[in-house]
Amino acid sequence: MELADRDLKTADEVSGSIKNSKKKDFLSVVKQYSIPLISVLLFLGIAVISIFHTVNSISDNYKQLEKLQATKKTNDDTLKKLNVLKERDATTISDLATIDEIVPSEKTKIVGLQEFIQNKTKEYNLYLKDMSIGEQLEKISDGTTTTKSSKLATVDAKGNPISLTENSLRVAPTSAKIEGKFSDIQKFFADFYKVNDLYIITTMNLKSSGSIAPAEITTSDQTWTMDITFSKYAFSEDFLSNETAFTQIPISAVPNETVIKYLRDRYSK
Amino acid sequence: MPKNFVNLLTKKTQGEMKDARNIEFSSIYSAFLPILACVVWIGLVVANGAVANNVKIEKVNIETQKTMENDMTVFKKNNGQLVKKIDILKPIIERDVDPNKVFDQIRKNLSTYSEILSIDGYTRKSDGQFSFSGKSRTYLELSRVIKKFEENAELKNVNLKSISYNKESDVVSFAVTFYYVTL
Repeated sequence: MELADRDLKTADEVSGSIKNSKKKDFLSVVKQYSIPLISVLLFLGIAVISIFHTVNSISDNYKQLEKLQATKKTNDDTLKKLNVLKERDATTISDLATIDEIVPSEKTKIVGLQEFIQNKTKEYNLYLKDMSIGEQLEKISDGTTTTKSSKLATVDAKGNPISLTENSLRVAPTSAKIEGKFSDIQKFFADFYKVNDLYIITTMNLKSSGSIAPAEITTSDQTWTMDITFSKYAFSEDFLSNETAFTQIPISAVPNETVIKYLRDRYSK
Repeated sequence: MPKNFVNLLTKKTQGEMKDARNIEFSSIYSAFLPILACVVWIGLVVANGAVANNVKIEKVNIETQKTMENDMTVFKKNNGQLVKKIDILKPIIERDVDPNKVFDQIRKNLSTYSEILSIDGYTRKSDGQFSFSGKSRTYLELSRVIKKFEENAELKNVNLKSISYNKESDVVSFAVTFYYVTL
Protein backbone atom coordinates (compact mmCIF):
# COMPACT_ATOMS: atom_id res chain seq x y z
CA MET A 1 0.00 0.00 0.00
CA GLU A 2 2.75 2.34 0.97
CA LEU A 3 4.63 1.33 -2.08
CA ALA A 4 1.62 2.06 -4.29
CA ASP A 5 1.17 5.50 -2.74
CA ARG A 6 4.81 6.27 -3.23
CA ASP A 7 4.59 5.25 -6.87
CA LEU A 8 1.56 7.44 -7.41
CA LYS A 9 3.31 10.36 -5.79
CA THR A 10 6.37 9.80 -7.93
CA ALA A 11 4.21 9.63 -11.04
CA ASP A 12 2.59 12.97 -10.09
CA GLU A 13 5.97 14.52 -9.54
CA VAL A 14 7.26 13.28 -12.88
CA SER A 15 4.15 14.58 -14.60
CA GLY A 16 4.63 17.97 -12.93
CA SER A 17 8.22 17.99 -13.90
CA ILE A 18 7.28 17.33 -17.52
CA LYS A 19 4.74 20.19 -17.42
CA ASN A 20 7.36 22.54 -15.92
CA SER A 21 9.83 21.49 -18.53
CA LYS A 22 7.35 22.24 -21.37
CA LYS A 23 6.55 25.63 -19.85
CA LYS A 24 10.24 26.43 -19.60
CA ASP A 25 10.73 25.36 -23.24
CA PHE A 26 7.86 27.59 -24.38
CA LEU A 27 9.25 30.60 -22.49
CA SER A 28 12.65 29.84 -23.91
CA VAL A 29 11.25 29.80 -27.47
CA VAL A 30 9.41 33.07 -26.85
CA LYS A 31 12.60 34.56 -25.44
CA GLN A 32 14.68 33.29 -28.30
CA TYR A 33 12.39 34.45 -31.17
CA SER A 34 10.39 37.41 -29.93
CA ILE A 35 13.38 39.60 -29.12
CA PRO A 36 14.98 39.19 -32.57
CA LEU A 37 11.57 39.58 -34.21
CA ILE A 38 10.83 42.79 -32.35
CA SER A 39 14.38 44.01 -33.00
CA VAL A 40 14.13 43.34 -36.71
CA LEU A 41 10.71 45.01 -36.89
CA LEU A 42 12.03 48.02 -35.00
CA PHE A 43 15.07 48.12 -37.28
CA LEU A 44 12.92 47.96 -40.38
CA GLY A 45 10.56 50.56 -38.94
CA ILE A 46 13.39 52.97 -38.21
CA ALA A 47 15.03 52.19 -41.52
CA VAL A 48 11.90 52.65 -43.61
CA ILE A 49 10.35 55.61 -41.86
CA SER A 50 13.27 57.62 -40.58
CA ILE A 51 16.36 56.66 -42.55
CA PHE A 52 14.72 56.59 -45.96
CA HIS A 53 12.93 59.82 -45.19
CA THR A 54 16.21 61.44 -44.11
CA VAL A 55 18.08 60.06 -47.14
CA ASN A 56 15.36 61.51 -49.38
CA SER A 57 15.65 64.81 -47.60
CA ILE A 58 19.46 64.75 -48.04
CA SER A 59 19.01 63.96 -51.70
CA ASP A 60 16.54 66.84 -52.18
CA ASN A 61 18.75 69.25 -50.27
CA TYR A 62 21.78 68.15 -52.24
CA LYS A 63 19.96 68.69 -55.53
CA GLN A 64 18.85 72.11 -54.33
CA LEU A 65 22.41 72.83 -53.24
CA GLU A 66 23.72 71.87 -56.67
CA LYS A 67 21.18 74.15 -58.33
CA LEU A 68 22.06 76.99 -56.00
CA GLN A 69 25.77 76.46 -56.62
CA ALA A 70 25.15 76.54 -60.37
CA THR A 71 23.14 79.76 -59.95
CA LYS A 72 25.90 81.18 -57.79
CA LYS A 73 28.48 80.35 -60.44
CA THR A 74 26.37 82.02 -63.12
CA ASN A 75 25.93 85.03 -60.86
CA ASP A 76 29.68 85.06 -60.21
CA ASP A 77 30.30 85.21 -63.96
CA THR A 78 27.70 87.96 -64.30
CA LEU A 79 29.31 89.91 -61.47
CA LYS A 80 32.74 89.51 -63.04
CA LYS A 81 31.40 90.92 -66.30
CA LEU A 82 29.60 93.69 -64.42
CA ASN A 83 32.85 94.53 -62.68
CA VAL A 84 34.51 94.85 -66.07
CA LEU A 85 31.69 97.20 -67.11
CA LYS A 86 32.15 99.09 -63.83
CA GLU A 87 35.85 99.52 -64.53
CA ARG A 88 35.25 100.93 -67.97
CA ASP A 89 32.14 102.92 -67.03
CA ALA A 90 34.03 106.22 -67.02
CA THR A 91 35.12 105.58 -70.62
CA THR A 92 31.59 104.50 -71.52
CA ILE A 93 30.13 107.70 -70.08
CA SER A 94 32.75 109.73 -71.94
CA ASP A 95 31.90 107.97 -75.23
CA LEU A 96 28.19 108.47 -74.59
CA ALA A 97 28.83 112.17 -73.97
CA THR A 98 30.64 112.40 -77.31
CA ILE A 99 27.74 110.68 -79.06
CA ASP A 100 25.18 112.88 -77.30
CA GLU A 101 27.17 115.89 -78.46
CA ILE A 102 27.16 114.92 -82.12
CA VAL A 103 23.83 113.08 -82.20
CA PRO A 104 21.59 114.82 -79.67
CA SER A 105 18.05 114.07 -78.62
CA GLU A 106 15.32 115.17 -81.03
CA LYS A 107 14.16 117.59 -78.35
CA THR A 108 17.48 119.39 -78.46
CA LYS A 109 17.47 122.42 -80.68
CA ILE A 110 19.72 121.56 -83.56
CA VAL A 111 21.88 124.43 -84.58
CA GLY A 112 21.52 124.51 -88.32
CA LEU A 113 24.12 124.55 -90.96
CA GLN A 114 22.64 127.74 -92.33
CA GLU A 115 25.11 130.04 -90.65
CA PHE A 116 28.08 127.86 -91.46
CA ILE A 117 27.15 127.54 -95.14
CA GLN A 118 26.43 131.26 -95.47
CA ASN A 119 29.65 132.30 -93.73
CA LYS A 120 31.91 129.86 -95.53
CA THR A 121 30.53 130.45 -99.01
CA LYS A 122 31.08 134.16 -98.41
CA GLU A 123 34.57 133.58 -97.00
CA TYR A 124 35.67 131.47 -99.96
CA ASN A 125 33.94 133.49 -102.68
CA LEU A 126 31.46 130.78 -103.46
CA TYR A 127 28.06 131.63 -104.77
CA LEU A 128 25.23 130.22 -102.71
CA LYS A 129 22.50 129.92 -105.30
CA ASP A 130 19.94 128.17 -103.19
CA MET A 131 19.50 126.64 -99.76
CA SER A 132 16.72 124.83 -97.92
CA ILE A 133 17.29 124.46 -94.23
CA GLY A 134 16.20 121.28 -92.59
CA GLU A 135 15.59 122.09 -88.97
CA GLN A 136 12.58 119.81 -88.87
CA LEU A 137 13.45 116.31 -87.87
CA GLU A 138 11.97 113.57 -89.95
CA LYS A 139 11.53 109.91 -89.32
CA ILE A 140 14.00 107.72 -91.14
CA SER A 141 12.52 104.78 -92.95
CA ASP A 142 13.70 102.43 -95.61
CA GLY A 143 13.02 105.18 -98.10
CA THR A 144 9.48 104.35 -99.04
CA THR A 145 7.77 107.20 -97.25
CA THR A 146 10.28 109.92 -96.53
CA THR A 147 12.36 112.15 -98.69
CA LYS A 148 15.05 110.61 -100.81
CA SER A 149 17.75 112.61 -99.16
CA SER A 150 17.01 111.19 -95.75
CA LYS A 151 16.96 107.64 -96.99
CA LEU A 152 19.43 105.26 -95.43
CA ALA A 153 21.00 102.50 -97.39
CA THR A 154 19.78 99.00 -96.67
CA VAL A 155 23.13 97.49 -97.63
CA ASP A 156 26.61 98.76 -96.90
CA ALA A 157 29.52 99.22 -99.28
CA LYS A 158 30.38 95.55 -98.99
CA GLY A 159 26.83 94.52 -99.77
CA ASN A 160 26.07 93.45 -96.19
CA PRO A 161 22.60 94.29 -94.89
CA ILE A 162 22.56 97.14 -92.41
CA SER A 163 20.05 97.66 -89.66
CA LEU A 164 17.37 100.22 -90.26
CA THR A 165 17.14 102.93 -87.70
CA GLU A 166 13.60 104.07 -88.37
CA ASN A 167 12.50 104.10 -84.75
CA SER A 168 15.72 105.34 -83.24
CA LEU A 169 16.87 108.24 -85.34
CA ARG A 170 15.45 111.39 -86.81
CA VAL A 171 17.08 113.29 -89.62
CA ALA A 172 17.18 116.92 -90.66
CA PRO A 173 18.29 117.25 -94.27
CA THR A 174 19.72 120.55 -95.53
CA SER A 175 20.11 121.12 -99.25
CA ALA A 176 22.22 123.75 -100.97
CA LYS A 177 23.30 124.75 -104.43
CA ILE A 178 26.76 126.29 -104.53
CA GLU A 179 28.91 127.55 -107.38
CA GLY A 180 32.59 128.41 -107.45
CA LYS A 181 36.13 127.31 -108.14
CA PHE A 182 37.09 123.78 -107.25
CA SER A 183 39.84 124.93 -104.87
CA ASP A 184 37.33 127.09 -102.99
CA ILE A 185 34.90 124.20 -102.75
CA GLN A 186 37.73 122.16 -101.28
CA LYS A 187 38.37 124.86 -98.67
CA PHE A 188 34.67 124.84 -97.84
CA PHE A 189 34.77 121.07 -97.30
CA ALA A 190 37.97 121.29 -95.26
CA ASP A 191 36.23 123.64 -92.81
CA PHE A 192 33.05 121.63 -92.92
CA TYR A 193 34.90 118.51 -91.90
CA LYS A 194 36.47 120.30 -88.95
CA VAL A 195 33.06 121.09 -87.45
CA ASN A 196 32.75 119.08 -84.28
CA ASP A 197 29.34 117.75 -85.23
CA LEU A 198 28.09 114.81 -87.20
CA TYR A 199 26.83 116.01 -90.56
CA ILE A 200 26.76 113.49 -93.35
CA ILE A 201 26.93 114.48 -96.97
CA THR A 202 24.02 112.41 -98.12
CA THR A 203 24.03 113.30 -101.77
CA MET A 204 26.32 115.41 -103.90
CA ASN A 205 26.49 116.31 -107.55
CA LEU A 206 29.52 118.39 -108.46
CA LYS A 207 29.80 119.28 -112.12
CA SER A 208 32.38 121.23 -114.00
CA SER A 209 31.34 123.79 -116.58
CA GLY A 210 34.01 122.43 -118.92
CA SER A 211 36.62 119.74 -119.21
CA ILE A 212 39.65 120.09 -116.92
CA ALA A 213 42.73 117.90 -116.81
CA PRO A 214 43.07 116.06 -113.50
CA ALA A 215 46.34 117.76 -112.65
CA GLU A 216 44.83 121.21 -113.18
CA ILE A 217 41.63 120.83 -111.22
CA THR A 218 42.86 122.56 -108.07
CA THR A 219 44.46 125.45 -109.93
CA SER A 220 41.85 126.01 -112.61
CA ASP A 221 39.43 128.96 -112.51
CA GLN A 222 36.74 126.84 -114.06
CA THR A 223 33.38 127.14 -112.34
CA TRP A 224 31.87 124.12 -110.68
CA THR A 225 28.25 123.71 -109.68
CA MET A 226 27.42 121.67 -106.64
CA ASP A 227 24.05 120.34 -105.51
CA ILE A 228 24.54 118.94 -102.07
CA THR A 229 22.44 117.55 -99.22
CA PHE A 230 23.73 117.39 -95.68
CA SER A 231 22.00 115.31 -93.02
CA LYS A 232 21.95 116.00 -89.32
CA TYR A 233 20.84 113.10 -87.14
CA ALA A 234 19.21 113.03 -83.70
CA PHE A 235 18.04 110.21 -81.49
CA SER A 236 14.29 109.93 -81.12
CA GLU A 237 12.78 110.54 -77.70
CA ASP A 238 11.07 107.14 -77.84
CA PHE A 239 14.40 105.47 -78.27
CA LEU A 240 16.14 107.41 -75.50
CA SER A 241 13.33 107.01 -73.00
CA ASN A 242 13.16 103.25 -73.44
CA GLU A 243 15.76 102.42 -70.82
CA THR A 244 14.58 98.82 -70.57
CA ALA A 245 15.93 98.26 -74.06
CA PHE A 246 19.39 99.31 -72.84
CA THR A 247 19.35 97.01 -69.79
CA GLN A 248 18.25 94.11 -71.97
CA ILE A 249 21.47 94.25 -73.98
CA PRO A 250 23.63 91.32 -72.82
CA ILE A 251 26.41 92.22 -70.39
CA SER A 252 28.92 90.57 -72.66
CA ALA A 253 27.99 92.90 -75.54
CA VAL A 254 30.85 95.14 -76.51
CA PRO A 255 30.40 98.31 -78.54
CA ASN A 256 31.93 98.14 -82.00
CA GLU A 257 35.56 99.07 -81.37
CA THR A 258 36.15 100.45 -84.85
CA VAL A 259 33.25 102.87 -84.60
CA ILE A 260 34.24 103.87 -81.04
CA LYS A 261 37.80 104.55 -82.14
CA TYR A 262 36.57 106.54 -85.12
CA LEU A 263 34.30 108.67 -82.92
CA ARG A 264 37.03 109.26 -80.35
CA ASP A 265 39.57 110.23 -82.98
CA ARG A 266 37.18 112.46 -84.86
CA TYR A 267 34.98 114.02 -82.21
CA SER A 268 36.46 113.67 -78.70
CA LYS A 269 37.52 117.00 -77.32
CA MET B 1 14.11 15.76 -6.76
CA PRO B 2 13.89 12.53 -4.75
CA LYS B 3 16.92 10.32 -4.71
CA ASN B 4 15.11 7.40 -6.14
CA PHE B 5 13.78 9.51 -9.04
CA VAL B 6 14.33 8.10 -12.47
CA ASN B 7 14.30 10.69 -15.29
CA LEU B 8 12.78 8.98 -18.26
CA LEU B 9 13.01 12.09 -20.49
CA THR B 10 15.68 12.03 -23.10
CA LYS B 11 18.55 14.45 -22.56
CA LYS B 12 19.41 17.20 -25.15
CA THR B 13 22.30 16.34 -27.35
CA GLN B 14 25.45 18.52 -27.39
CA GLY B 15 24.51 19.84 -30.86
CA GLU B 16 21.02 20.85 -29.74
CA MET B 17 22.47 22.63 -26.75
CA LYS B 18 24.97 24.48 -28.95
CA ASP B 19 22.18 25.53 -31.34
CA ALA B 20 20.13 26.74 -28.43
CA ARG B 21 23.08 28.80 -27.18
CA ASN B 22 23.63 30.26 -30.65
CA ILE B 23 20.00 31.26 -30.93
CA GLU B 24 20.25 32.87 -27.52
CA PHE B 25 23.31 34.88 -28.57
CA SER B 26 21.67 35.86 -31.88
CA SER B 27 18.67 37.18 -30.05
CA ILE B 28 20.95 39.28 -27.88
CA TYR B 29 22.84 40.59 -30.92
CA SER B 30 19.60 41.34 -32.77
CA ALA B 31 18.66 43.69 -29.97
CA PHE B 32 21.44 45.95 -31.23
CA LEU B 33 19.82 46.31 -34.68
CA PRO B 34 17.41 49.10 -33.65
CA ILE B 35 20.26 50.81 -31.84
CA LEU B 36 22.37 50.57 -34.99
CA ALA B 37 19.46 51.94 -37.05
CA CYS B 38 19.10 54.82 -34.61
CA VAL B 39 22.82 55.57 -34.84
CA VAL B 40 22.69 55.51 -38.65
CA TRP B 41 19.58 57.69 -38.59
CA ILE B 42 21.20 60.20 -36.25
CA GLY B 43 24.25 60.25 -38.54
CA LEU B 44 22.07 60.92 -41.53
CA VAL B 45 20.16 63.63 -39.70
CA VAL B 46 23.47 65.32 -38.90
CA ALA B 47 24.56 65.02 -42.55
CA ASN B 48 21.20 66.39 -43.70
CA GLY B 49 21.62 69.28 -41.31
CA ALA B 50 25.01 70.04 -42.80
CA VAL B 51 23.64 69.99 -46.35
CA ALA B 52 20.63 72.09 -45.34
CA ASN B 53 22.99 74.55 -43.70
CA ASN B 54 24.97 74.81 -46.93
CA VAL B 55 21.73 75.41 -48.82
CA LYS B 56 20.96 78.28 -46.43
CA ILE B 57 24.46 79.72 -46.90
CA GLU B 58 24.17 79.51 -50.69
CA LYS B 59 20.75 81.18 -50.58
CA VAL B 60 22.24 84.04 -48.59
CA ASN B 61 25.16 84.24 -51.04
CA ILE B 62 22.80 84.39 -53.99
CA GLU B 63 20.76 87.10 -52.31
CA THR B 64 23.97 89.09 -51.77
CA GLN B 65 24.93 88.56 -55.40
CA LYS B 66 21.51 89.78 -56.54
CA THR B 67 21.87 92.90 -54.44
CA MET B 68 25.30 93.52 -55.95
CA GLU B 69 23.91 92.93 -59.43
CA ASN B 70 21.11 95.41 -58.79
CA ASP B 71 23.63 97.95 -57.56
CA MET B 72 25.60 97.54 -60.78
CA THR B 73 22.60 97.75 -63.15
CA VAL B 74 23.59 101.30 -64.00
CA PHE B 75 26.85 100.08 -65.57
CA LYS B 76 24.91 97.51 -67.58
CA LYS B 77 22.49 100.20 -68.71
CA ASN B 78 25.31 102.55 -69.76
CA ASN B 79 27.06 99.81 -71.69
CA GLY B 80 23.78 98.72 -73.31
CA GLN B 81 23.06 102.31 -74.30
CA LEU B 82 26.51 102.69 -75.85
CA VAL B 83 26.27 99.35 -77.70
CA LYS B 84 22.83 100.22 -79.04
CA LYS B 85 23.76 103.75 -80.09
CA ILE B 86 26.95 102.60 -81.75
CA ASP B 87 25.05 99.90 -83.65
CA ILE B 88 22.54 102.48 -84.84
CA LEU B 89 25.22 104.98 -85.81
CA LYS B 90 27.48 102.49 -87.58
CA PRO B 91 25.77 102.70 -91.00
CA ILE B 92 25.79 106.49 -90.71
CA ILE B 93 29.42 106.68 -89.62
CA GLU B 94 30.32 104.45 -92.56
CA ARG B 95 29.11 107.25 -94.83
CA ASP B 96 31.02 109.96 -93.00
CA VAL B 97 33.60 110.66 -95.65
CA ASP B 98 35.58 113.83 -96.11
CA PRO B 99 34.94 114.72 -99.78
CA ASN B 100 38.40 116.24 -100.07
CA LYS B 101 39.91 112.81 -99.39
CA VAL B 102 37.91 111.39 -102.28
CA PHE B 103 38.83 114.28 -104.58
CA ASP B 104 42.51 113.84 -103.72
CA GLN B 105 42.38 110.09 -104.26
CA ILE B 106 40.83 110.53 -107.69
CA ARG B 107 43.13 113.35 -108.72
CA LYS B 108 46.30 111.54 -107.56
CA ASN B 109 45.29 108.34 -109.28
CA LEU B 110 44.47 110.05 -112.55
CA SER B 111 47.17 112.70 -112.80
CA THR B 112 49.88 110.14 -113.63
CA TYR B 113 48.00 109.04 -116.74
CA SER B 114 48.55 111.53 -119.50
CA GLU B 115 45.82 110.08 -121.68
CA ILE B 116 43.13 110.77 -119.12
CA LEU B 117 41.99 114.07 -120.50
CA SER B 118 39.59 115.41 -117.92
CA ILE B 119 37.44 115.00 -114.89
CA ASP B 120 34.00 116.41 -115.50
CA GLY B 121 32.21 115.76 -112.28
CA TYR B 122 31.83 113.99 -108.96
CA THR B 123 28.68 112.57 -107.44
CA ARG B 124 27.59 110.87 -104.28
CA LYS B 125 24.47 108.76 -103.96
CA SER B 126 22.38 108.37 -100.84
CA ASP B 127 23.72 104.85 -100.30
CA GLY B 128 27.22 106.30 -99.95
CA GLN B 129 28.45 105.43 -103.42
CA PHE B 130 30.84 107.90 -105.03
CA SER B 131 31.38 108.30 -108.73
CA PHE B 132 33.36 110.50 -111.03
CA SER B 133 33.05 111.05 -114.74
CA GLY B 134 35.67 112.09 -117.24
CA LYS B 135 37.22 111.63 -120.62
CA SER B 136 40.07 109.46 -121.79
CA ARG B 137 41.94 109.30 -125.05
CA THR B 138 42.15 105.49 -125.05
CA TYR B 139 40.42 102.47 -123.60
CA LEU B 140 43.76 101.05 -122.55
CA GLU B 141 44.59 104.01 -120.32
CA LEU B 142 41.14 103.83 -118.81
CA SER B 143 41.58 100.15 -118.00
CA ARG B 144 44.87 101.00 -116.28
CA VAL B 145 43.08 103.60 -114.20
CA ILE B 146 40.39 101.15 -113.18
CA LYS B 147 43.08 98.64 -112.18
CA LYS B 148 44.82 101.24 -110.07
CA PHE B 149 41.58 102.12 -108.33
CA GLU B 150 40.86 98.47 -107.67
CA GLU B 151 44.25 98.08 -106.04
CA ASN B 152 43.54 100.93 -103.64
CA ALA B 153 42.59 99.46 -100.26
CA GLU B 154 40.55 102.50 -99.29
CA LEU B 155 38.19 102.01 -102.22
CA LYS B 156 35.76 99.14 -102.57
CA ASN B 157 33.47 97.88 -105.31
CA VAL B 158 35.18 99.86 -108.04
CA ASN B 159 33.08 99.66 -111.21
CA LEU B 160 33.16 101.18 -114.62
CA LYS B 161 29.60 102.40 -114.66
CA SER B 162 29.38 103.74 -118.19
CA ILE B 163 31.65 104.06 -121.16
CA SER B 164 31.10 105.57 -124.59
CA TYR B 165 33.27 106.50 -127.56
CA ASN B 166 32.78 109.73 -129.49
CA LYS B 167 34.12 109.25 -132.96
CA GLU B 168 34.12 112.93 -133.83
CA SER B 169 36.22 114.04 -130.90
CA ASP B 170 38.00 110.69 -130.65
CA VAL B 171 37.55 110.49 -126.87
CA VAL B 172 36.15 107.89 -124.52
CA SER B 173 33.70 109.20 -121.94
CA PHE B 174 33.45 107.18 -118.75
CA ALA B 175 32.02 107.10 -115.25
CA VAL B 176 33.56 105.13 -112.41
CA THR B 177 31.73 104.23 -109.20
CA PHE B 178 33.17 103.08 -105.88
CA TYR B 179 32.67 103.14 -102.15
CA TYR B 180 35.09 104.80 -99.81
CA VAL B 181 35.92 102.70 -96.76
CA THR B 182 35.59 104.76 -93.61
CA LEU B 183 35.65 102.02 -90.99
